[in-house]
Amino acid sequence: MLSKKQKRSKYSVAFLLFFALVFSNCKGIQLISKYDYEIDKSITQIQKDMDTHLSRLERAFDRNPEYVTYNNKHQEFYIKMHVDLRSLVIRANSVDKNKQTVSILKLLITELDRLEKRHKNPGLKKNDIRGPRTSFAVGCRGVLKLELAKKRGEEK
Amino acid sequence: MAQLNVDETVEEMLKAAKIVLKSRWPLAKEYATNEFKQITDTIVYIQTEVNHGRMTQETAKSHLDGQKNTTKMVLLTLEGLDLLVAEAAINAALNAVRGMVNKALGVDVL
Repeated sequence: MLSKKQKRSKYSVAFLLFFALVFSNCKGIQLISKYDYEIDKSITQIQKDMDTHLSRLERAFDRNPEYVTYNNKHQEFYIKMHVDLRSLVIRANSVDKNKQTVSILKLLITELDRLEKRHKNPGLKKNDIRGPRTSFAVGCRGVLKLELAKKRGEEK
Repeated sequence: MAQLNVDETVEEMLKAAKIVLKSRWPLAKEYATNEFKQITDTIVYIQTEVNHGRMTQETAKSHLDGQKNTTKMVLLTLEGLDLLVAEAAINAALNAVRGMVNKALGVDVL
């Protein structure tokens, strides 16, 4: 018959062995995806491209103070920006636990659509630029901030 | 249209975000403050343009919808940062327990 002390010791060993078996393959938990260099690089470029586009539009108001109307060159920009953002959504979606980045990118596409729609009809006024500039700066910063935070976590 | 108070608006936005992040708020506060300030400044700009007759209500509504989405982008970033902090905390705890189990068993099982 085992004494109380021997029984406690036996249960402790059994508990530790159980814990060891359960966690023996556990390298750590992952609640969010790992750092992605392509997303880091691409979102920085997207932010630059959008800022260049908006700055050019602002300069255009020096020539025509009323509206900047939509032309083929603008269309090319919007097509390229759509393609760049959609590719990034596909990339971000291809990894698990990347919901936040995917959602931000989709919201950026919504804002790109809003800007292009307004640009087509009735055309853009100078006071139409501020909103999209804020949206893209904030959105791109958010995606980048998440990637850099993931990178810092991995370096530790 | 009454003019929006930037400082009060930013404070309200920060209060709402703080409830979500609770103990991890100090880490995210600076980021959230800067972003909410930029969004609020833009909303005030839109409001000013309407008040001066340079922007229609309909156009302003579209721009404000855009800023609502922009606010969502900030909240999504905060959610992601929160997960990173939680992940680091849990893994630190697991590592500590791993060390204790290995020591108790006298062999590196984990």
